[in-house]
Amino acid sequence: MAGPEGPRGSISQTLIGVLILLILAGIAATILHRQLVYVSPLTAQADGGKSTGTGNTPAVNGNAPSAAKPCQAEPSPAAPLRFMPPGLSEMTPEESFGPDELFEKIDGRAELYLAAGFVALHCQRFADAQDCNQWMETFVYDMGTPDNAYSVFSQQRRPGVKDSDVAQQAYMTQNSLHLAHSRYYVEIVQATPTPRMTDAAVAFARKFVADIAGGGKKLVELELFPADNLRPGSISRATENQFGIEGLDNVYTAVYVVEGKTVTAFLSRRKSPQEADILAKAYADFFLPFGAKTIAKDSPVGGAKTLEIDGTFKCVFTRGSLLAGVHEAPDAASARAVAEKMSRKLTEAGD
Amino acid sequence: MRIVTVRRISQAFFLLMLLWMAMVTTPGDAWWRRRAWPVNWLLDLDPLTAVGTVLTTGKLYAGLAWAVVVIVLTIFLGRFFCGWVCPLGTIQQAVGWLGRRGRVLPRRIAFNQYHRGQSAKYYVLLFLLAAASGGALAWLVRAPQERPLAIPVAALAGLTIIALLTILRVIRRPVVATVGYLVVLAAVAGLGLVAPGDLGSSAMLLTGLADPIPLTYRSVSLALLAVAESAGLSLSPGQRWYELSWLIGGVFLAVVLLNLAVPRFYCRFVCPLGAMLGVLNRWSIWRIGKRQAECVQCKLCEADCEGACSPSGKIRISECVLCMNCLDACKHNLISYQRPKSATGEVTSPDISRRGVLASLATGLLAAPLLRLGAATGANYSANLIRPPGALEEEEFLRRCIKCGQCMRICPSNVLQPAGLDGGLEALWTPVLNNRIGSSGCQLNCNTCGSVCPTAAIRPISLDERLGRGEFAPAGPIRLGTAFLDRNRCLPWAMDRPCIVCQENCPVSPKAIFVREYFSTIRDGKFVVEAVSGATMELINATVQDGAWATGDYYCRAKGNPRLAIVANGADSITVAGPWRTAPPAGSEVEIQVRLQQPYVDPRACVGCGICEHECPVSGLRAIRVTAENESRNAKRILMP
Amino acid sequence: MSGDERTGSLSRREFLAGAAAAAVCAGAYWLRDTVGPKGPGQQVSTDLPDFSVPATAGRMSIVTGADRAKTVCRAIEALGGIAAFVKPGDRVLLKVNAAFAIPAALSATTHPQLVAELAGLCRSAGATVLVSDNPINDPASCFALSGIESAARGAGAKVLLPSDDQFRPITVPGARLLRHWPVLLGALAAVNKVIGIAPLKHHQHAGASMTIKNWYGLLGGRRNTLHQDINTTIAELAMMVRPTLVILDGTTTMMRNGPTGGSLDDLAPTHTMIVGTDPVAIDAFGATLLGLRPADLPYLAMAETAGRGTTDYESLKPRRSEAS
Repeated sequence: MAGPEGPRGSISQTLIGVLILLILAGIAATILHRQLVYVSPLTAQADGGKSTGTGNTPAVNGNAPSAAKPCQAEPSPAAPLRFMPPGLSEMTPEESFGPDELFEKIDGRAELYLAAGFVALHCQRFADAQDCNQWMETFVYDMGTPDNAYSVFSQQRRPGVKDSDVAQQAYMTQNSLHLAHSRYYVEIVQATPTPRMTDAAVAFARKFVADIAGGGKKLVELELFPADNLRPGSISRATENQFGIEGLDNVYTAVYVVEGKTVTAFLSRRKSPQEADILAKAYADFFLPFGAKTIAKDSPVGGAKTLEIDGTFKCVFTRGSLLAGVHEAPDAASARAVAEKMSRKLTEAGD
Repeated sequence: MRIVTVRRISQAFFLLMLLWMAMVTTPGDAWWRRRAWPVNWLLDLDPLTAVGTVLTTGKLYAGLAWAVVVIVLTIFLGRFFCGWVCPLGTIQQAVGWLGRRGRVLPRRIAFNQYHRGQSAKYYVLLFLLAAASGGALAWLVRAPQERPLAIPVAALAGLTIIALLTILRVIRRPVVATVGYLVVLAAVAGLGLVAPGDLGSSAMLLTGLADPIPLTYRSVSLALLAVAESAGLSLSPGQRWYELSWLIGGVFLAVVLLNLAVPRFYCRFVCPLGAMLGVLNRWSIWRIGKRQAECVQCKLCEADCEGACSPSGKIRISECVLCMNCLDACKHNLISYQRPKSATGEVTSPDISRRGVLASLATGLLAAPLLRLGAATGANYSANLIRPPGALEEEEFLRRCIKCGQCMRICPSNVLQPAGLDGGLEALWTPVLNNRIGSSGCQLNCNTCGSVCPTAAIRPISLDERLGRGEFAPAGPIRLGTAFLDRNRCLPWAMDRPCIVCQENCPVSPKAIFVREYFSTIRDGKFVVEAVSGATMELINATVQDGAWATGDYYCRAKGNPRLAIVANGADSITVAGPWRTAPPAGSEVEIQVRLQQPYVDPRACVGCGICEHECPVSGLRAIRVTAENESRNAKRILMP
Repeated sequence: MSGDERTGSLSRREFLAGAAAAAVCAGAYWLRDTVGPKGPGQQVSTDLPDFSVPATAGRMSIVTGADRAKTVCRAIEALGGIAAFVKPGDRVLLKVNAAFAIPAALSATTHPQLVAELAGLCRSAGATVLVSDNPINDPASCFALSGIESAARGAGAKVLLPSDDQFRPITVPGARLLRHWPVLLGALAAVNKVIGIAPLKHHQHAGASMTIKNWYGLLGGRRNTLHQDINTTIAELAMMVRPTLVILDGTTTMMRNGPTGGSLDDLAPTHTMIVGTDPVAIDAFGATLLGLRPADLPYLAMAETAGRGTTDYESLKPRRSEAS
């Protein structure tokens, strides 16, 4: 009559029971977890009426489209209004843009800034208090670090302009003033290039430099390029992988004119000598598949590799954590000359 | 640990889940409000809703995919949903147990004997599915016209399947099956030549009326919780009111209390979901059964058998809800949840007759067009049926609404109400606006109802679409209807009393209600001037309440003067604003006029939100009422091109 | 019950259960709908009418000179005069570039002189003139600060500032991106001739901004997402608009730092005005003024493949002249 089975509450019942209880616990845990990570749409300040949301509140939604955004809640330390020169008044309200909206102001150029670590833009127009046809627009780009500010400054530098003394890195054109100071890149564009407006631009720039701290330190790399034959204003920095080589970022380039020949030198500070060595090898190896030939393993520059590809000469070496070399030279002699000078300067600098 | 303990825990878990989800279905971010609680999950699990909407719309919408999990598990395991998950089942089981407590054993066994009436639920199911399948059948019939190849393909495919099923001994009489199939196919092909019109393809989703999950949600949300709130439990901003709650609550009470007479009455006799699961479980891998045939027939197993499925004899698999009480009760461990069939035999098919099947199918198929003959979704539509913003056009809406009450529960202004029979039987308990109830009409910046509808009968719209902003600007805002002024009741039109409450509260910009001024001499408003001093004029034979005319709406028309506003009045004197052009001579007549700003509605701007109706001080039959003309969701109801 | 029978029926049952479950899953997958039902009445999408004058196909004229008014007049004369393009009673849209609120001298926007000159010419031909664009910055300040608004008004043209309700979706036949895309039909539906006037600019992202890219200012919606496939977008713009005439102003070309520029030093005095009816050819020529080859601008080849013009501008035998 009795079967071969065990007592009531048998093992199998317990096991299956436990399994089912675990499933129930899992369901409860998933549901509760969602509550914990929930972010209220009100605080997330989302998408201006696009969300169908959880419909949590019949709430206010959406900013007005298109028009310039009014000032953000806390005034930025770099708000242009702080530096408005005397004799000028606000012509339009300040506009602020984050990475997602930057294109709304400068369209295609936003790419350049976004690639260089753009944080925020504050801009505002000021007009002469007496004559509102004389006006200028100021752009203060917060790039996050002095390196990044220098990047966008140097990459947009117009050729042949003269330096300005308002800041360590500044130049002036007929109708605009550009400078890189601390982590900011500032442009002041005058609608009409009158002396009055030019003075006002200079005044703005000087006040900016005086009030914003952190610009005193010079970017080290700028000092490390030898000054002989350096084309003025040619030291430039790109943030993306320079030369198309993976991992080779934070590269400064400079243009030298040696006996009429143009040579492009480069310099990059790495985290460690090992990394510099790896990248030096990567640089040299990168061009091999394209037909580069190594020439003269021995050179006055200790440890340097010289390559030739398609009639262009390259050179790469390391000094401590610094990776340096010549990217383009029309002949081996000028490549070696510049590399030599760089090597000496870097060794002197003792890094 | 005994398996019945686990079952009880599971039942409590899901019942508490339903209660909790119903309680938090109120807008807000706090943990006791909507937040991110999956308030529709139990509705999504419901296979009857899923199958019903698939029949009526041809699609399986979003969250309803959860139902597939339940269906698949039922196919393998049996009616676990009924015994372990369904909250209505839990409630019934609890009440039934209370009803059986203290009874002697034979009585308890008698409660749980199988009754022939238990086949009724299958007929209910067939009726509901048939009523929902008009559209699907119409599609089937039309398909050969569009794709003539379909017929030979269907013939081949069908014959192959019949062959397979014959080999598997599912079909016992292959000849009959083949002939029957070919006849049906020919009929379908032939009918294709006579394509059914709109009426013939009517489909309505009536499952929500009998489906236990929406029924429980509805009863809890719209009746029980509202009653609890009136007793002090504060869940919503203010007391919630729901029309027809008496019927909803009454049905629920009846369902629950019937368990005192028959345990799990609803499950055994009525529930179409249980019926569907009962049909699905005929091939379940595991089922309740006896390990061996010899037993003392003590019938202890049937003392608490929830499904009334006769586990002691030939167990009826389609009725077994896996409550495991029999397994637990048997002192000899003869009953188990096992793969082989029960040693004393089993009945896998429900006890339904071919006649019954045909009858319910035919009734269901006829019901849909029959109910639509009243043109309630066409020319004879009920103008009082204002649907929520985002609701689909009426026939589409009725194909999806399961009357679960979620939208009505979450509506922040309590304006959504369960409909009565206004829109026909199929509109019973579907959401409509009643602008007199609640805190305001339909708030403009709100899309909450659509976000909580499990079947998208109310679409989840964005605020941009609701308000006609951004990419929806060309289409304009969603209109629920249009407000019509009842000049026979409106105070400034009919009663000489100034009032512009509706115009003030109209939320759209520019306002849809505008006013035109009209000056009317008040009743007994002609007086004779006694004397004038400065701006004050004394009147003969006037006894007026102090200040009665000083509200800013009253004016004085005196001889030789333009209309002047009255700024103050005493019992028999008035003071006007501004100098007289010529001081009215004593003895001349003067008229007291009231300035009436008479409202007009601009149908181009009105979105039918009902806030004007809600605010109208004529509180019985409101002087401005929203009706369904010009609602966006139905192009045929526009007021003007 | 014998063991065999029970096993046999077990595996049959298992098979059927599995088959049923599989059928249910397959059916559910086939019928799934994550999007939900659509609302009432989707907008009907059409494409734009052809604004070109058939007899004037393939004409191009290049005039050098420093005075915009003179060069553009000479250029149009060389193509047959304004009467060849605009008839009395026509309604003409001057699609300008007013994308930024930047002073005219920086050549980031259409020069107001050109706007005034073209508006005057069209009016003298008996047409009414509408000037419009959907700028990137705020419309009112763009039209004001660029000087376009006052120039247009002064010449008797009407300025249309875009607003949300001016846009309706259209679909460009054969396009992949510009489907159901909101376009400034408020302006386009009101006219029967379209003249595009674009400054010649370097563009950071697209390479150059010339007459075809000028049509970008007809788009609404989230057009910045189109930047992700800018060349296809510009090619589809060429497919979208068949203009009456296009004008490429290379008088002071923005050579670098486009499209906003910012410094007068970014401009080069190339002193060339190009007018014609083949936007692809005109853009191809304009590229040379920027120091680019047509091959540097992939959209040109794509537009040519789509049949909207030819990159071989010399084959059109452009008329060259000088106007000082």
